[in-house]
Amino acid sequence: MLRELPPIKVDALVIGHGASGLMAASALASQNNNVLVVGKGATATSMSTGCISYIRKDILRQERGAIDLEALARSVHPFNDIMERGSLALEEVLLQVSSFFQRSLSDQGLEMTDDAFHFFDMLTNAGTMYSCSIAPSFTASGRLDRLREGSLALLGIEGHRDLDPRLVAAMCAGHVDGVRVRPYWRKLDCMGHGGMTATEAAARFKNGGTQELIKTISDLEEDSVAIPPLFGLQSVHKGMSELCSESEKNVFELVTPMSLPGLRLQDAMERSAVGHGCHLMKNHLVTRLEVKRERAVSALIETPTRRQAVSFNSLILATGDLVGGGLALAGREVVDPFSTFKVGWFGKTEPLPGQTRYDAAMRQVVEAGYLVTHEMRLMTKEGRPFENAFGAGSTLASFSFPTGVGLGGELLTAWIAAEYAKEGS
Amino acid sequence: MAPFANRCIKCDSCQKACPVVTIEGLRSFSGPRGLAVDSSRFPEDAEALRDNLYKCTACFRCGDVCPARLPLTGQIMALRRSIFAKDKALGGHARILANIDQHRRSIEPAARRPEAKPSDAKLLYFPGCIAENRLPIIYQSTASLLTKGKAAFRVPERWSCCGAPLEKVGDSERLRLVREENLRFFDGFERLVTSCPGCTTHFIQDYGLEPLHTIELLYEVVGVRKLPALPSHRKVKVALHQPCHLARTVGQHVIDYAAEILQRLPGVRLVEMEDADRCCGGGGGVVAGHPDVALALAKAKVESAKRAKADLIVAPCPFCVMNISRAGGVETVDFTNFLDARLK
Repeated sequence: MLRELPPIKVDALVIGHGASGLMAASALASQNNNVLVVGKGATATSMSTGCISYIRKDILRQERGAIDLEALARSVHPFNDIMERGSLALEEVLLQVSSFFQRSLSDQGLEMTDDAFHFFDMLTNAGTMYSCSIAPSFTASGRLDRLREGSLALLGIEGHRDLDPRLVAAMCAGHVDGVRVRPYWRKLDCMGHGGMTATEAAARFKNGGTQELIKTISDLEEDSVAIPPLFGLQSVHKGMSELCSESEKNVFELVTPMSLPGLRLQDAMERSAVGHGCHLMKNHLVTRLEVKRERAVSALIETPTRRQAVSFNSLILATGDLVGGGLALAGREVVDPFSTFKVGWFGKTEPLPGQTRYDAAMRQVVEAGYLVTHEMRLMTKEGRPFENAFGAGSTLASFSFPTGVGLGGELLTAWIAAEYAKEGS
Repeated sequence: MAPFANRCIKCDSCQKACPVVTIEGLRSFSGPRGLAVDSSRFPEDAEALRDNLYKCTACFRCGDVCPARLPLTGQIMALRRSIFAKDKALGGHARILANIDQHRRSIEPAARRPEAKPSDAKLLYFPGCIAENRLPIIYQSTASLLTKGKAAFRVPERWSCCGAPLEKVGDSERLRLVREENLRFFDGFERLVTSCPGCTTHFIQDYGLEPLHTIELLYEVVGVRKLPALPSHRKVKVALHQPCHLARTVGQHVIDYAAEILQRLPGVRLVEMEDADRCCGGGGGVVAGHPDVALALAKAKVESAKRAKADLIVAPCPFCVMNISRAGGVETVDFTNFLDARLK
């Protein structure tokens, strides 16, 4: 049934086309490696907020505004070892990865502001607080410390699901001190009838809605205006700067997951990877890995009707967590779908104080993932590190609990994996 | 039914990716999740979805973005099979069924058709209904390219529609009939090549054959990249449309082949078109069943090409060429036609 295509050979094979896969691929390709990225399905990146945070909630309690690197290192298991015995300094890696990331995205028309060493607070479209380190400039202009002592209009557009201004106003009443917040519902002719997804709205908005929106915004009396995401990657910078300059107000997007911001980040990262020279095969599934002792040798890539063998010098596994399909469940146990690498977790099997047995079991499942060395090398089932296979991103153990820790760790591990994978190829 | 629906993680990726949702909105179209996942919990209500079910263009984009890897399009086609009844078929679909019964083609045959020359070549060329009866230029260009590449071929003396349109209508009875006929007519070939990605996919998935799409044959076997090209053609900016069944079921490599072949032609510049892999509306029996939806999608495709400042859309699929041409605005030609005119 499946037709075999002639086999190919690459320097590095990256499985997974989310943030960590594309980051590792770009990093390798920018050093003249021949890189193939294979991915299938919607990535978690495309559903994310499109912002990057390197932090977990427990690190935020440190000195405000700055990130405690030691707490960061303690928080995720592979980082522990990096600090203790790795040859890379976490601080330096953070600097390199964020500047490479920001430069690559800026080439694709997505300006990201601030650095990996600080964080700031913004409002989400649910009215909750969101802390992150790197965000698109048109989102970051809504950071709460800049809004203090000012007034903020929440502008909902009828039919657009991403921003319900009344909900946000009610939710944020408690924790946004010193900002006068007022909700507005407005109807735009260009949007037609209501009840549409953000992508649909963006498609309708493309046909000349900016002027109408500028007029609506100018009529508001507040000096800052929050709007739902309305532009795709191609038009977002032009659109948002037009809104700001023409209305002479600070117009910004609220932090919005499961919508255009995530899709924009995904789009920009894909373009950037291709720009660095990667070959990107979306809609393909890696169905088999061939391993000889501690070396991964080749893989089989499949579409519904075709099959192709790829041999490689190094392999980066960035397939995502259990929900994303990078890991599999067998009964109550999390297992490696390739039946090759070691999977495990770092927590305690006994329930923590106040936890039920069910909580502990659940946490164990969610926290499990691939185990790696401090060089991000995957391990055989017996625990011997691989020479040329690396893991990156949320597929690693302890990366998916608690959920929603931001894409920073994904980029960081991908960068380290690429750094050591280079030596192999 | 339930395990399928329960594997959905409700992320809405399919709804965002669905081209028909962008055209119709979620008020008048349920989208892949509504059709394939939610409705499977209420199989007795499938009849009420009849109109909705036939708006799907079977572009496979939903299944491709699905993180849970649910075969959403397959599920929609299964629902179509479950509610199929000849007397309830939409106008265009009833015509397809009548044409199959009468001529063994999915469309009304043209008065003059390209003639099949008898030969004992082991390479079988299956032109498909459109390339034979609506766009014979595809038939002629393919024949010419194969001749230029010194690949001896023959067209079966008799053949029936591959059955892909019947699959989309949901008629499994006629589907079985044409499959059995074709397997008889195809006797004694070593390799099968098709113009239409729909036929290619259908031969693989329904017949269990191993056909090649024309581009695969030209690239892998004929070695079209080594054929000499005509010099000094006028400069042309080309947007390469990615037909759904070619890019998603046959495989992305065919699109890579096509792009590589085009880039080598003198005077040709490929321009990047937004959403190049978005369905043009030509598939899934939507042209016959809901022509308004098909036309709106074709118009969106032409708009993308215009924004990319393309002079020409090249589409490696007869159905796509036909449907995008209906929208007008930017000239649309078939891949083989475009290539043949530029090779010596």
